[in-house]
Amino acid sequence: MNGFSPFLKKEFFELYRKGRLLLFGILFVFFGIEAPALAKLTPALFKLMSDEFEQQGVIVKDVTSTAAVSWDQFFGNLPVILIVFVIVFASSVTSEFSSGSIIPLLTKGLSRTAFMLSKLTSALITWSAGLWLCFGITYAYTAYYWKDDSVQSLIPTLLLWWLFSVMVICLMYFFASFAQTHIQVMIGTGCVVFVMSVIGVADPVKKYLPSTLTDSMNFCTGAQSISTIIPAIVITTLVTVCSVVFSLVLIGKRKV
Amino acid sequence: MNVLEIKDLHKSFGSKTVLDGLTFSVSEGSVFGFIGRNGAGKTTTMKIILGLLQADSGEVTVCGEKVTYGSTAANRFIGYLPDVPEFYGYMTAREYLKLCGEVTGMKQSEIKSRSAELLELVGLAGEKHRIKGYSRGMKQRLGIAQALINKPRLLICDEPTSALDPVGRKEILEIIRSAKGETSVIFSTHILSDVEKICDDTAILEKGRTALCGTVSELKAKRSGSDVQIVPANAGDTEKAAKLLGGEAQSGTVIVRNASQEKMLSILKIISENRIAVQKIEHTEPDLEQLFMEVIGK
Repeated sequence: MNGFSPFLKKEFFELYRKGRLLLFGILFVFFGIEAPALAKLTPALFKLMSDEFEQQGVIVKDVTSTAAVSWDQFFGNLPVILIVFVIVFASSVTSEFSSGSIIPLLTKGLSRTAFMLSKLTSALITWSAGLWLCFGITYAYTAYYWKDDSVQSLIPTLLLWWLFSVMVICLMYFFASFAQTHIQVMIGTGCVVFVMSVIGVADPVKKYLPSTLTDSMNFCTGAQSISTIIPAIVITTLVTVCSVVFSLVLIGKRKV
Repeated sequence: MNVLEIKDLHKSFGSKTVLDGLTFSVSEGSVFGFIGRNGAGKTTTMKIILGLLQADSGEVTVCGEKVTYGSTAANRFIGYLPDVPEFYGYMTAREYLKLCGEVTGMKQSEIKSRSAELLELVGLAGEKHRIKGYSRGMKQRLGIAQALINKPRLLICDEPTSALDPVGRKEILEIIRSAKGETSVIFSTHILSDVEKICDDTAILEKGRTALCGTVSELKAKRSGSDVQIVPANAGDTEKAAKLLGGEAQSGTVIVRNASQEKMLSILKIISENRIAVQKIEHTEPDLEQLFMEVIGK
């Protein structure tokens, strides 16, 4: 796997120079703070709007927020960050081929496997570090403001979400290994996730679908046991591994 | 010893045959001019040499090692300058050369000294800006530096001067000429004057084959003589003059092919006897352009 380490270094250098590390740093920190902040402000907001509600015949009594509100907001924000991540990273492989910037390095001995794996590694490290940073910030603020035990098993719940997001990112690189443009990559990845959500409407198949891993509030409030979705965990892992394997095969056959 | 040998190379894209039994070799220490019109298959040949494209059949060996598609093993002997080189615009030239050196497995100290040496050679030593602000000529010069970073035994340049102004062309030719001391060069182009300036050996690619191959002087000698071009003062005399002189009439000019000095004298005599007023008469030296035109049947 010639050239993996220098190309991985180049990937992080690119993320830094193009301001993407800063962008995602800000995004993850913002959403990390936003979830508990919004939960904390919810009672005050309701109080502020209580007169308006009363005129419409709705009586607002004392609204109290709990740690669960904060975590609900946190898990609700994750798809938004993941979508932004896919949009920003979708052109990572296709632009190298369409511009021809990869040609000098391939002719210098960079193997295509090393090229693809360093792209994937840099994306996964950036995403994972950001996700856990975001989680850490929300965790710290939530623990500080609420001492209730409305949520449990937070780390396993986040691990499930992380596994789902890793699958989406690997799927994106699978599409990138043969797609000509970043739009095709986004459409391909988006379609797979959309189809999963549509199939997920039918209850009997839900436990097999990767999207079930993102039903985070069910797991952390104890409404559903993680052991009930073992098939979905297995299938998500399989889709992830297959996406990586096929992306390596296809990038090897890609015309320059 | 030959650094590059190509034997009976075939490549088609769908029903279009691009290479049809291409055969030639490049000897160590030479600058090899690879001439062909646009679309003749020059870039296809180079991509096959680099293992970036799969040949239908035939054999390519670089420094005795067989090239296989998708494998980059033989590339350790090669430096490649694409026709329109594209680099990472957010890097400086020095940073880009460092990346290239690291990919090829060079040591940090070696990368540092070699980069300084090459940036000096291509005139980018004082350039501190990022590559995104570079002109086409500067990118071409950086392209040569990156191609030479690991001291390749074969430098492949794909039309390095085609898109440049006369000053940029001259600079690139000078750099290639100076690189000749440490590497063999294969240089594809359709600018024949560039070939005459720097190439030792040449091949003309036409219809997917090497139509002619040899040193520049050998190729010139293939033409048995030089031409005489006569421009009559009165355009109406062109046909008449062509008939009397046994030449071809081409848009107001009479061309007499393969004319010796003896023939030149007889041409002057015939013109004088028939009182044909002449605006210009020229005995042209054989050049690659004429030869190239003959080969491609124009």
